[in-house]
Amino acid sequence: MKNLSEIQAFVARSVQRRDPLPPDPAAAREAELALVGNARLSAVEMLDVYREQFFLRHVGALREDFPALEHMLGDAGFDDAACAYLAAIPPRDFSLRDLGARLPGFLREAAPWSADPRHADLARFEWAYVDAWDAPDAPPLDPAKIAAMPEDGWARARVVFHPSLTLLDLCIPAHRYRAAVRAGEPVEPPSLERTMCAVYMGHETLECAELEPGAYALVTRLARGVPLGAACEEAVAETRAEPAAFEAEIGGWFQGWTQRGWVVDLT
Amino acid sequence: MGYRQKHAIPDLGVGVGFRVPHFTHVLGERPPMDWFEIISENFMVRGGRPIANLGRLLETYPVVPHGVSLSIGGTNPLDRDYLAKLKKLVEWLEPPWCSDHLCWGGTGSVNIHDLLPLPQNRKVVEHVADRVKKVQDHLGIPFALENVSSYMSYRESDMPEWELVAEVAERADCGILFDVNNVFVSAHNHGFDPNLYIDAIPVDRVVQIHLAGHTDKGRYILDTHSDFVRDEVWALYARAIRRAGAVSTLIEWDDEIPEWDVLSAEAAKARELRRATLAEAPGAEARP
Repeated sequence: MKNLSEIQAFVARSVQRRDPLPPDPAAAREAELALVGNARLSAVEMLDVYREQFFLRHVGALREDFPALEHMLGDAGFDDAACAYLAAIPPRDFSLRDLGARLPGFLREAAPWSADPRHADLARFEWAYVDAWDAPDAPPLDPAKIAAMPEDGWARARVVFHPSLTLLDLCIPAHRYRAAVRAGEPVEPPSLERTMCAVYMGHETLECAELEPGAYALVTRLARGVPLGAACEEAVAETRAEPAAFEAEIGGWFQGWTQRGWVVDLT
Repeated sequence: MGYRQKHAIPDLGVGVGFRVPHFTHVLGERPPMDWFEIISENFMVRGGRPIANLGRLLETYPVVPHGVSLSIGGTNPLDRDYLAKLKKLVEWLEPPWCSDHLCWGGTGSVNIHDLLPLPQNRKVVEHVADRVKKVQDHLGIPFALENVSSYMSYRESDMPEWELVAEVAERADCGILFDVNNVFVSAHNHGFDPNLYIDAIPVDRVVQIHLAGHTDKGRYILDTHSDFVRDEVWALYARAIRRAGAVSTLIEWDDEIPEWDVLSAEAAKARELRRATLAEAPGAEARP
């Protein structure tokens, strides 16, 4: 192997193999073509140092971002899922920060993890924290905007939310499970229970708030850019709420969202 | 005129890496520290807490970005998106230099997120030097390459590692971030005399020195940045400082990160050794 790109392709291919290289005679022969061993390590053992580090680094990074998923799957189970993910979707972004971006989708599609919807939903929930951490900043809503809104302008108003906000409709109470795992409390993986919540950057820390169905139906529509009047109508229809009762809740919801810093503009 | 003099590279003293376990203490208490190094990629993000924290750090300390993902020795085209984000960071920080590693980190569409060594030969020198020039032109500030720890040797190598480092730096006209622990690790793993490496580096190009701890894995040494600097590495540091003079120095501690006081004491140890060494070699400090 004389060509630099050929050598690098060979090393890259080798270090992504999950099993140790030294026991494989073919790997040892191939390593000898590119590398020179010494008194400490043979050529294939040298290559295996990098292979081992590849998995320690990447599985470690995934463990850091998905602590509750690791707890649900167990150490060995998480290793299996992470290694299968790395094999199916090799790391391609320059930063390890993005490594887990496609893990929820992988768990939704790939057996055996796809058989249990809790895996993908828990990963989706945990990834929202990664996304919220470095989401762009946005100043809070200027109260003058509310004061300046004419009474008949509210129906057409569109709400702009903070970029860190992720709204999630999950099959488990992932927020309670993750909180318990992170606190080191003994906790069993949660049973199926539809849960709607929002992950967002609070004043200094990452936060999660559970949402009641009406609030979730409304906020998801507003986040998609639907004007307030139409969003309310759609949310009432979806939740089959009594319109007057729904309307009575809106002010409180909006106030809560504003206090949490979710609402950054009205247009 | 040497590289450091030509680019007015300052001596920032002895600093440490800005790492998550110390964010609250550093940003809250503002403890004495000469300067901080950040991992560039951790702050090449859209906003949020990383950028807010870095902004607060900048209020008190000099900050220098150090990258791990440029893959200057790779055969993929240089990543324009990466370089654009790095330039944006550099324009904000206005550091006296920035750095990355003399290595490759991926091929094709795969990013290995490792600092893989390069074959040591003339073709690689030309390949890397050409890419460094492009990076320097793009960034518009002095750029330094760090020698990496290595655990493998290529058949295609026909020069010692220190020659590769020196040749690339000369041809690209860039700086060197000289990692003394990496010299020790590679010397142990490949069986060469680390003093030869120290003595062969063009010291006028050394803009920064790294010190770190490593882990003895039995048959080889791994560069883990998880421990105190070893005595042998302190001795190599003194040798390097004797040659290079007062060069900004940084303690790297990235795994099993200790309490701030422990890290700060390690920096103080480097500061004292640097002072004592330069006092014994009066000519050293004046060198460019």
